[in-house]
Amino acid sequence: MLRFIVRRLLGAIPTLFIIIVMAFFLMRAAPGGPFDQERNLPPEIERNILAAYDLDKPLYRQFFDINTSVCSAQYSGADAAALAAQKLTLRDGKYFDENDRQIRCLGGYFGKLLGGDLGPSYKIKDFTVAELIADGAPVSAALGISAILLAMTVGLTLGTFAALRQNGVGDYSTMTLAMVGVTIPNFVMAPILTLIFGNYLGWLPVGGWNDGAFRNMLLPVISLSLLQIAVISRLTRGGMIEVLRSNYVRTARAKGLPERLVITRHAMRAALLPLVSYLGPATAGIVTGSLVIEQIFGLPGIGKYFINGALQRDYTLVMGVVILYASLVLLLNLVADVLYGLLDPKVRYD
Amino acid sequence: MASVAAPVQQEVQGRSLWDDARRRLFANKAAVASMIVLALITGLSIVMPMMWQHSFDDTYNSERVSCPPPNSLGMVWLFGDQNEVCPNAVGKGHIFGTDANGRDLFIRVMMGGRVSLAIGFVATLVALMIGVLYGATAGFLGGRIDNLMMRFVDILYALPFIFFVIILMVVFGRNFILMFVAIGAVEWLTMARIVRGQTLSIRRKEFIEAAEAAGVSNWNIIRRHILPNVLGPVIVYVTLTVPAVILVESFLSFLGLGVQEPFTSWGVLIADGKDQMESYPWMLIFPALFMTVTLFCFNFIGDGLRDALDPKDR
Repeated sequence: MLRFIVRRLLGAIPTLFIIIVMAFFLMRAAPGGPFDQERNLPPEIERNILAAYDLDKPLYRQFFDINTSVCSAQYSGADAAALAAQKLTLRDGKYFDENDRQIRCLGGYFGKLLGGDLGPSYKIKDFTVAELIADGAPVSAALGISAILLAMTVGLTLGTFAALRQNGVGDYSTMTLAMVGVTIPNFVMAPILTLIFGNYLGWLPVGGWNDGAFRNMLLPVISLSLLQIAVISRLTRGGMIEVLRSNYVRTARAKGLPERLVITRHAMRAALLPLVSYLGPATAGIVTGSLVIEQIFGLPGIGKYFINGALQRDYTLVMGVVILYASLVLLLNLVADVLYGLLDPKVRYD
Repeated sequence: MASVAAPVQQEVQGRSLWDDARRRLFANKAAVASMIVLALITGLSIVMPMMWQHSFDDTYNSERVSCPPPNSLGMVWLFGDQNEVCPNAVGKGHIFGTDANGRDLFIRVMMGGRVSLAIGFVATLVALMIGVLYGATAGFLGGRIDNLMMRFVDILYALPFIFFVIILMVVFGRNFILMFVAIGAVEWLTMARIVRGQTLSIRRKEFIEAAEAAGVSNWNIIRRHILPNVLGPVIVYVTLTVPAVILVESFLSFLGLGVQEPFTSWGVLIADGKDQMESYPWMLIFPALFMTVTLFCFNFIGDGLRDALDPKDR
C-alpha cells in the first residue's frame, strides 16, 4: 500500500512537470508582455524593468538557469576566484552581481520554484504570487469544500432514494432533475438563481463575499454544486441498483435484517465505489466551475487571478494558479485511488 | 422501400443491427421530439439570418437602449411595457426585444446559435478524427505500443485542460479556427479510449475468428464486423460530445475569451445578458433558453441512441 502511494506520488511528478513546462512556454508565446501597457517609458527604464524580472534573458534561461559558481560556493565552500570573475558579491548569504541582481544557484522560474518561490506578481505591484494565492485561497477553499460536501450529501440521498424506487415516480422525477442539473451549465444557472432569489424575491444578496457569511455563500455554493449533485446522484443510483440485485444483499434480507440496515450497512458501501473514483473529476469540475462562479458573484477567490492574469500576461501569477490547481487535481486523483483500494478488497496493489 | 408491387414470394426480411437500432430510436419519444426541436433550432439558426428583417450587427433605436419584447408575448409582468420604455421600437418586430446596444435580440440569438452549433459540430469532428485514428491504431497494434499510447492518454487525462484552452485562447487571440482545434484537441481523449477499448475487445471475439477461419479478407473483417461494432459507441459519444463542446465554447465566451464582437455566440449573449439582467432580464432569458433546450436535445438524443445501439439490452 505504502509502495503504491509512493509510486503514484512519484508518477505524478512528471505530469506536474509537463504541466509547468507547457504552461510556462505557452504563456510566454503569447504576443505582448506584462509591461506593454506602460508606454512612454524611457528605453533604459524599460530595460531595467525587464532585467528586474529576468525577462531580458533567453527563454530557456528564464525557465531554468544554473550558476555553477554560486552552486559550488553555496554547497562546497566559496571559490573566491570564480565568484570574483563574475563580479559576484555576498550579502546576507545571497549572491548579487554587479547590477545588484540576486543570482541563485538554481535560477529561472523553475529553479526558484524548486526552492518554493513562486516569484513576484508582474502586474499586482508589491505582492508575491504566494501572498496573492494565500489571500484568495481561503475563499476558494471554503467555496469548493462546501460545494463538494453539499453535492455529496444531496447527491447520495437523491441517488439512494431514486434507486429504492426504481422506475417509480420518485425515480423518474429525481433523474429528470439530475438531467436538468447536468444540462444547464452553472454560468446559466447562477445568474438565473441570482435573478430570482436576489433581484425578484430579494431574499439573498446578489454577490460579494462579506467574510463568508452564510447568506452570501448560499447561492454560489448551490450553483457550483448543482452539476456535481446531478452526477453523484446518477452514479449512486446506478451503483445502488446493481448492488441491490446482488447475492449478499439478498442474503442480508433473507436473514431478516431490517431494510434500513441492509441499505446503510451492506448496500451503501459497495454503491459508494463508483463515487470514490469520481472524486478526481469532481475536483476538476469544481475548480473549473469556481472560475466562473467567483466571477459571477464577485468573490475574492483565486479564480479571478487566473483569468485576469492570463489576459494581462501576469506570467508568474498564472503559473502559480495553474500549479496549485493541477497539484490539487492530481492529489485528489491519488486520494481517490487509495480510498478505492481501502474500500474494495478486490483491488490489489503490486 | 424497394418494391411497391407485392412480390409473389414474401422473402424473409433480415433485420440488420441498424434497422433494429432505428426502430428502437424512433420508439423513444423523448429522442424523436429532441430531434425535431434540434432540427428546428438548427434550421432557424441557418435560415433566419438570411431572411430576417433586421441584421445582427445593426442598431435599431437611436437611443441605443434595450427594449423589451412586444406585449404580444404576454409577458408584460416580467419584461415591462414596451410602449413605455421604447415607444419608437414598437411594431418593428423585435420579438425578443433588443440588446443593450439596441440590436435585435432575436437575430443575435440565431447568429449565436449558428456559431455555437458550428463550433460544436466542427470541434467534435476534430475530436472524432483524432480519437478514432489514435484509438483504432492503439487497438489494432496492441501490445507494447498500445500500452505506450494509452499511457500518454492517461497523462493527458490528468491535466486540467481547461487551463490550457484558456491559455491557448489568450496566446493566439480569439481565433475561430483555433477555438475548434483547441476544444477538439481536449475532447478526443475519451473518444480514443472508447474506440481503442472497443477495437481491442472485438478483435478477440469468436465471430472474428470464425470470419478469419472462413477466409474473409482482412479489409472485409474490418468493414463488416469491426467497424459497425465500433461505430455504435462512437455515434453515441459524438452526440454527447457536441453539447460538451458547446458548453466549453460558451464557458470561454462567458469569461470573455471566446467569439469577438460583433459576432456572437450563445455564451457571449448569456454573458452580456448576465451583466444586464437586473434591468433587461430578456437579454439573459432568451439565449439561455435556446442554449439549454439545445443541450437538452443533444442529451436526450444521446441517451436514446445509447439505448438503441447497446446490444446488451437485447
